[in-house]
Amino acid sequence: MKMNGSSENNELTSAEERFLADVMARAAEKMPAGSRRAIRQRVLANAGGEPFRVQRLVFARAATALTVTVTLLGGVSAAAAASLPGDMLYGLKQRAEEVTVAVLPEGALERSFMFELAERRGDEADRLVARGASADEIERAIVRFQAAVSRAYAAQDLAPSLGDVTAAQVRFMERIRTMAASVQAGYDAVLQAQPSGSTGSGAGSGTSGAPGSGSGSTSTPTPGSGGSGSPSGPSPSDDPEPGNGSTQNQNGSPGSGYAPESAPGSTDTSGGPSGSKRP
Amino acid sequence: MTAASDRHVERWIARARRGDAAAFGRLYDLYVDRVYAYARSRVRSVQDAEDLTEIAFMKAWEAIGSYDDRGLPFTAWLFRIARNAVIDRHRKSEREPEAVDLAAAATIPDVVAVEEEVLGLLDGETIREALRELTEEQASVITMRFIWDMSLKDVAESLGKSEGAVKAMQHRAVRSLAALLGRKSDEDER
Repeated sequence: MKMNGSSENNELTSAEERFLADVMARAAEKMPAGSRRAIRQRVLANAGGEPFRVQRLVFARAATALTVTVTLLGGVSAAAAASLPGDMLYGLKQRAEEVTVAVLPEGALERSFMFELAERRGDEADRLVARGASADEIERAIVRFQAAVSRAYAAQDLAPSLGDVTAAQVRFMERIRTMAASVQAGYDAVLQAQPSGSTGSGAGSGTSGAPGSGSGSTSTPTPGSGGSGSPSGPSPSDDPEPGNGSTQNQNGSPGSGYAPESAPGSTDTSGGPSGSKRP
Repeated sequence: MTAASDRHVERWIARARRGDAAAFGRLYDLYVDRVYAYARSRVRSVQDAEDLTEIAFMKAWEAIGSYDDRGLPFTAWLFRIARNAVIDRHRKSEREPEAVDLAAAATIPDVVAVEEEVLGLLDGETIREALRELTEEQASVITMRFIWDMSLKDVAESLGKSEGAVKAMQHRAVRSLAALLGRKSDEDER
């Protein structure tokens, strides 16, 4: 190849362009795979919190979602894993979850774990109801539940196009709907049992006392209570399953619509599994 | 490099800005080869290049919360961080990469004859050695243009230069590289 002189105005000739492209292609070297993984884990552990957990969690990378659950339970002790919001060990449980989210590679495993976290938040809300927690405590749990559901849906970004929903996704959404309905029922019962206005949350302004009744009259963040579109998650209209039912927003039933991340009250300030703390 | 649509990348950036480490992990997967290739072209050892890559992503995470997508394009922003890491490393080690003698490069005739076969004979490390002899800015420009596939405009923004200045640096880089590679080829033959 002859590289003829460049033009007067410093524009590269096509020969020079080819020369540079060839040189740079030959010079470019990929990072060894082992280093690439190790650095990823260190960077994300730093982003997610406690680096000391990374070594153990490396194992989880190649494991199934079930193994991730087991790893977590083993890592934080059964007591922490069973803890509920307000319990002393709950923070530890959350930290373990955050680090796990941070180190999981993208793909099915990460999506499965997001599902798992959403279900865990729903289960916590349910158990708080059973424990006789106050409406405020349940509301906060519902906020976390909603955020986790939103996040699990957002993690489906890389999944096949909507309409081509996997069986696992359908099962998840069905479980979430069931769980949300249970939480809603429990929450309604708690509200009815408490003196009017005692929650101070504004919940129950609808005739049924149900939060997030879809009318915009309350801001109580019931999972699946509808809401405006999210910049990062699927909008209610492109969500193939949750919220597609005829019950949507009729009575504020949890699970009757998709609650996006940006919905009022769905912020992560409640300590939901938002991935990690901001450094 | 992971194939990802612009839409996905924008979402990952938005999520990472809100503190989502998993989304940042996806950005890492997408850009790590580019950052590493740049670092590798500026330092001799693989270990140093890996350290610089790690530092660049650590710093990117620290800063991404304040990243404004209405300002620098993300690639230009990330390259700037990687470049600063390299500059800091050289400054700390007081081991500035040897820059090619620009005066000597200027004497190279406009018609630079670097036969294709010559390039073919040179291995990757020899070519990287030549790249390390470019000035820091020249190396940055051609890395951004030809490894990171950035437009002239984005390169100019990342460096805080005009597009004309970037073109001039690119032009000097090609002449310097041709001279350096020709010289290395001659050395190999001896």
